[in-house]
Amino acid sequence: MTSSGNAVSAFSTGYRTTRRDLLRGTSFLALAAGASALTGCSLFEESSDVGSTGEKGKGKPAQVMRMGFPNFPVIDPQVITNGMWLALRGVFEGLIAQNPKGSDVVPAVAEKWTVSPDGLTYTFSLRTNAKWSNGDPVVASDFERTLKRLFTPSQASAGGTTMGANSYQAATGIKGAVEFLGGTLTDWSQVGVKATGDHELQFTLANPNPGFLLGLTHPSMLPLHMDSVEGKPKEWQNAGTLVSNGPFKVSKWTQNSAMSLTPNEHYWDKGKVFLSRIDIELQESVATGTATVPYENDEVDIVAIVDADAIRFQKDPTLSKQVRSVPTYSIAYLAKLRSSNPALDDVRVRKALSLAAGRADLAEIGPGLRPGTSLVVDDVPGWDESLALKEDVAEAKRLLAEAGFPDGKGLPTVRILAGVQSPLIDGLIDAWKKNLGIQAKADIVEAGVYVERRWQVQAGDYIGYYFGTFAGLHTWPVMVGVLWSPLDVQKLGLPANIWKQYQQTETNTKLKPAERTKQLEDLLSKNATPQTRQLAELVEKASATRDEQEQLALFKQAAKLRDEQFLYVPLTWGDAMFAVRPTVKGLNLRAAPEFFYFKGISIEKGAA
Amino acid sequence: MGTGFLGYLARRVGRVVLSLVAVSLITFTLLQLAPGNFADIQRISSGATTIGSAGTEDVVNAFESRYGADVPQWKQYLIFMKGAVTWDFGPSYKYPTLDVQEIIATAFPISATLALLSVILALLIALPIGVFAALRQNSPADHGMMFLVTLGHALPGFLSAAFLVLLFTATLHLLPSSGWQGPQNLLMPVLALAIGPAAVLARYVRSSMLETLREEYVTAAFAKGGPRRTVIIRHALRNSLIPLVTVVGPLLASLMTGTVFIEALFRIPGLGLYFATAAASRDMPLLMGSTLFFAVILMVTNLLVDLVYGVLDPRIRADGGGGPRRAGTGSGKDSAGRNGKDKDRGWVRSRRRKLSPPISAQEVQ
Repeated sequence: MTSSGNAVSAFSTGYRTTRRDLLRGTSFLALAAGASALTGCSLFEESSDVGSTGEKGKGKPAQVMRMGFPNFPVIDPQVITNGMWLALRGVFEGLIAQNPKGSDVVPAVAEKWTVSPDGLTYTFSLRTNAKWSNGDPVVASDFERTLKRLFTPSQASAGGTTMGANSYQAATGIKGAVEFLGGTLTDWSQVGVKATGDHELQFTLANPNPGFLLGLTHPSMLPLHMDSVEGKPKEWQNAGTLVSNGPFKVSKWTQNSAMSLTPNEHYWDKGKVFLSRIDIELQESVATGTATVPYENDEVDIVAIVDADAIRFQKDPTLSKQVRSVPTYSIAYLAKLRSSNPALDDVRVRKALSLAAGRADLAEIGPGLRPGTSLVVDDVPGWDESLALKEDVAEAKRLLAEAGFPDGKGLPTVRILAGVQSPLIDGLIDAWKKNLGIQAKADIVEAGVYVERRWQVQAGDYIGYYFGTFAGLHTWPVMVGVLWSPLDVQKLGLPANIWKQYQQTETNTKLKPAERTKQLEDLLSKNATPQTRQLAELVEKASATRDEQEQLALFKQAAKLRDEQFLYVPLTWGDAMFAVRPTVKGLNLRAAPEFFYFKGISIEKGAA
Repeated sequence: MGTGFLGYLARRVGRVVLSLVAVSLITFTLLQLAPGNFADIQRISSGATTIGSAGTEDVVNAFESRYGADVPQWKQYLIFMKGAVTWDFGPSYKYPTLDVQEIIATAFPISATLALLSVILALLIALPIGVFAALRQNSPADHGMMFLVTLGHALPGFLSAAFLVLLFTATLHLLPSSGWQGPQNLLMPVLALAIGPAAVLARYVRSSMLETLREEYVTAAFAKGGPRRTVIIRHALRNSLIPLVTVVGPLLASLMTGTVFIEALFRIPGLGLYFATAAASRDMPLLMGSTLFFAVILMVTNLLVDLVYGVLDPRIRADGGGGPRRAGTGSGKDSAGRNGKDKDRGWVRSRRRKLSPPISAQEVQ
């Protein structure tokens, strides 16, 4: 009863109060608005010339290249992120670079070099006019100090650790590098990198390595300005602070959004630097079209295209002329999972599954895919058809029956464990069901579950493979020695119970590094299969061989032997595709993970 | 009310602190239980070549023990929390050059701006729709609008975002597809973020408005002969907005801490992407820091909402004057007991007004 009376009084007398209170309430919102208004000036990217590069490309100044690039958290080339590939395109410059074909090397910071007759010592002469973006000269000790950082696993004080994602390629074969990195060697003077003068740098290798020079074109071999890395461990990668020696420097970086590069005015070869700025859209691949809509809206001049977008571009009469593709290193493959069920321990079963994988159909699934007939891709110099696997469903059926699973009867469901969805997995499962009549199933799990489960011994009747993609330098030492290395193959060939023992030893922190390494080696030498041990011997022999023909023959023999174990099974080889606007001149696509260098690129206005 | 209010505030703040400790413990424990670790996940997600097997284990070990060599997990937690108390969360694993508090300081104003603009836009859309639908309850116009609103509610933000890009960028070429260079980059994300909340708020406005229109003072206002527009806007709408505060507060809080998809799609350097990748990459400091920050924002907003609500609607303070209390404020016995013990304790934890089902006439009397 009183309620209505009060309500009316609130209406008749309390009106002003309500209003004031409401204002008070909204003041909370206003406060928040004010707070953001205060930061308004710095809310957006600071850029004086935003207008000139605005959408539609109107009135953009000459020589600005706009580019889409996958997002990355750091540009430190010693940490594996997409940032290291951007660094390699032209922010930092190594001793040498790749030639336009990507088949050989050309001078960069190093003017010339000599190789000792035994193939173990490389001496580089650095050009005296190479400078950092702050004007400091680039000297040999810069390289030595940078590599010491690379090989020191936990340099938290020196600009962040490499966080377990160290970009060093073990196949580069620098003497003592892997041991120093692993902690078994602590004396830096034993590692084969020495600045023997201000402008002379010497590498000593453990074994002769014909792929060494190409290996030096990898991001992990780029020099860093160690004074700023060590002096400003947290800020050295920031825009404006980053001191680099490549043709470009980072002038602006809005994390997770955009980056701008401008020419390094101290660069030694300024005559070949034509772009006045590179604007980079840092893209997260959240949806189809994330990369291509900006391209079609004339916001970027070059962008990588994949999947449905690539197909659409290829079919479009205008856009198809702007599509450029380059054979690359990306291999989709399977790796056997360890399981308490021994079905896949029988090489006949593994071979049967590989012979009936339907690679030709898999290659039809996506643009730029080819059947992956060996783990070594076919444009590694010296590759020939003898390495190619020939699919044979009849033989697969015979092998399966011989192994005790006629028409797949009795074989547990074969699982494909993966961290991401892939149409290739679905295609493979269909092929197996159709060709062999077996049961197969995709098991897509979260990334953390994936990384953990693929090393475990699966319980019960869970058998199968994990699905992965890989890319690497196109040299035999990398393709046979680093990717699916003899050690990896040996470990994968271990019986399940020995593998458990191996893992326990690996994680046993009570053992000293040297002791642990020895125990692990013992486990391998006692239990690895004869074939995988032979593989290790072949690769070791090949690495130590100086005669190139003999070495090639040994690597090929090893590659063949590895493929025949069917522990790692190649599915497809992928090409990379880009959309490049016709205004972009001098862009040379190479079959390398960074795909091109910025140096030499120019923008030609009016080109259509 | 003075000491009573302060006491109330102290109790609430105390609870916030306790909740934060609970949140941190749960987050940390879950993270320890989650499979995989930062280094392994970083390796597979970077899509690049790795060093292979040699030395990797040691690198991982060295990395994970950055909080000290072989520090047990409970100690890692204490080290983290010790820093957290002084607003020092330490460097992120994934962004090693940035401290977590720096990430928050840079990205929060951006997400907050987006959130604020979206909520304002949502209110601007929701108010007229809600009022109009309420005034024409059960008419075809009402049904039509509620159908649209339900549709808007059902439409996920990422879908409307993609649709907006298709329309304004891919087809009309009016707006840049993404980026963070100026106000032109705000239009699509704000609109995409506002559509869902606008639909929710419109329904709230409608039901709240319907409720208020049935109030006797509104009838009285009409009876007094005031202009229809004045009665509807000044008397009915004003009062029916009060419960909206309880909805807008948490909505604002959740938007302010970042929206993953929208920010990633439009390349907006806000908190959303950091938060999402923290969990996916097992970045302990970033995940802990961001979760605690989110919890603080949510709790403080809720506290503010309760305070504002008390100011807006004095009946909620349950001052024990025998005046009408909202439905669901608690039993009379509870209130009476409190009054018997302590007359100053006017402020109690308010339970927010339930909007659905609307308070009916018999409850009010």
